[in-house]
Amino acid sequence: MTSSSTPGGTLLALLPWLVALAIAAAVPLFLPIYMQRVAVTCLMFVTLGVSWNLSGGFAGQLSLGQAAFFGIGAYGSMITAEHVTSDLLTSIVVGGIVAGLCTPILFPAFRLRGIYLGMATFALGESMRVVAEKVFPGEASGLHTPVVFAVDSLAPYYWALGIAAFTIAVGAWTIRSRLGLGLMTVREDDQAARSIGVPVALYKAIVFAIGAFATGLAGGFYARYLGFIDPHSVFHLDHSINPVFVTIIGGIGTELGPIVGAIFWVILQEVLRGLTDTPAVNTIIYGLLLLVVILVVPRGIVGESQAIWRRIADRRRGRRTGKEIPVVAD
Amino acid sequence: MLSFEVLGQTIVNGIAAASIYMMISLGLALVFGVMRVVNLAQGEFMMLAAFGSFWLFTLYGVDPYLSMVAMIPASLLLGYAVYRLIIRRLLGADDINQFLATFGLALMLQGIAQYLWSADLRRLPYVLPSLEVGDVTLAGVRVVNIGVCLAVLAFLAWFLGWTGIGRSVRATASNRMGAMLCGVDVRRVDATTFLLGTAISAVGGTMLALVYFVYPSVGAGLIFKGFAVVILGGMGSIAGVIVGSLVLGITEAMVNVYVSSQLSALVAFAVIFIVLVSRPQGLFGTAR
Repeated sequence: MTSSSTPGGTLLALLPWLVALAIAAAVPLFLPIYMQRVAVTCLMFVTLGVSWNLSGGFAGQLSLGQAAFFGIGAYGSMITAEHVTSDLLTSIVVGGIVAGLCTPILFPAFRLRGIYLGMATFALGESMRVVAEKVFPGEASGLHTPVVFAVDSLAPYYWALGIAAFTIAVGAWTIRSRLGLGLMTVREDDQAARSIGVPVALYKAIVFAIGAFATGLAGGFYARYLGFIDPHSVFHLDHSINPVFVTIIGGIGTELGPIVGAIFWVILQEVLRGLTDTPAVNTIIYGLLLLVVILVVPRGIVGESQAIWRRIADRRRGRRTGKEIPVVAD
Repeated sequence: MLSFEVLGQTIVNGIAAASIYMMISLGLALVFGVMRVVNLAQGEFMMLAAFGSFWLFTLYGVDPYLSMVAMIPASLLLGYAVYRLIIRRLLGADDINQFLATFGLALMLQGIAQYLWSADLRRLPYVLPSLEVGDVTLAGVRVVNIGVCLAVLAFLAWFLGWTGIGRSVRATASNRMGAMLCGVDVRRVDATTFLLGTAISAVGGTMLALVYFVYPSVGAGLIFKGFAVVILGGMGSIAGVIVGSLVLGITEAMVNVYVSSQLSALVAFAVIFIVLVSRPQGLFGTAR
């Protein structure tokens, strides 16, 4: 969390991330094909969660419409692949850029806060789905592209890992920059932020554009990975809710939160799948988990661990603290 | 296409839909008005009551209008449990936490319904002679639905306007701190309001079962109509709910007939977005 100004310090701060990346790169070599696919899903959740956490967690702007950007990214990459070039990287990046360029559809909602912003963005996401269903009709005429990946290929995993790592890096840069500081000020009090000269609207626009770009990359990758999309699948409400869900479980407003949340959630889902094959049970657990996390550990896994760690560290230093130590998550 | 018969029929259909929208929106508006909590699980109370009436009719042949009454005490039990275990703890919590906790509850209830009764679309085959006025026809159950809706509104008007607890509810909604200082037991008001909203939604559940399909996620689809109504009318305003429901119901019916049935699904979302962005206080709310 602390960034040092010396080059050696920066390298030291980067070390845990590089080790994590190396481990993540080695993991699929030991996984059966099925689990590799699960891991791809997990990395997609990481990408979506980390990008949502930037606006939702650090800037305090509740967006429930990320599916719009996921879908736009998916369509952007598929249309590029069909009409321009089938090159994977180009089409995915085009998907991200198109999604990023669509950020202005959120501008009218920027004056809203909290639940109102949530509802407006939700309405926007769902509207996009209805419109897309009208513009790109039916499952029968969804978009197909030739299969890119062989069935047993490790490539999708590394693509997903690359996108997730890129998103994490951009996120890490964002929250350490002046932009990030400004956004956290907006979260605490947007009036005060404005009064000390934070360009609130501009910063919101930038953070949502970053999120839209990353979400669009994920959408673009997902589309090329499956080779088939239709409006119902890529503009689905799940793509708006899942990022929020994994971030909340992991710890909203913490850097590691969405990553831990995504891994936790995917593993839990697999364990559940082993125990029962009823989707309804999954839904019940999903709901129960959300409820319990919010009521019992609203700071999430990471936020709560940090709070406990700090309490222990403080006690060890022999400092008696009567009150809770504020954590980033609050 | 543009004949008066079609127009009249469309408006009547819209009003029939509005009677259902009102049932979910009243619950949302009451709870939000008093507690400032957005209850995303309101639609699931409706769904459970719809299933209750469906099963009572299918298994035991109980008349839906009898089960409509029977669903009220059942919903009060569930509502009280939900209030004590969840809603009360969310008072004053972050918007996002309220939203997600009640969303979690909604998912849980949907999951339980799906586990018990599967995701099949079911129909309650109960028919009453339909009402015909000129060229306009309205199914009997819809006519009764509108009547039930008016009765609920009349009850609510009496409750809020002429009873002591109703006065406390209005006082708490207009100024919680002020009401507390005047000796109003706001906790009791909270519980009463929440249960009132639950009971109204339960009545709406049976109304819904009579005119539409019954399935686990039926309430989730309706909650967004409820949002549109409540936002249109101004969060927490009862008069706003009445007008908002009618506007939404009739607009949807119009779009359905004159534009495209696909796009009528867009009306609610467009209302949410446009009203929030251009007039966040709604038609009847005052600027905050």
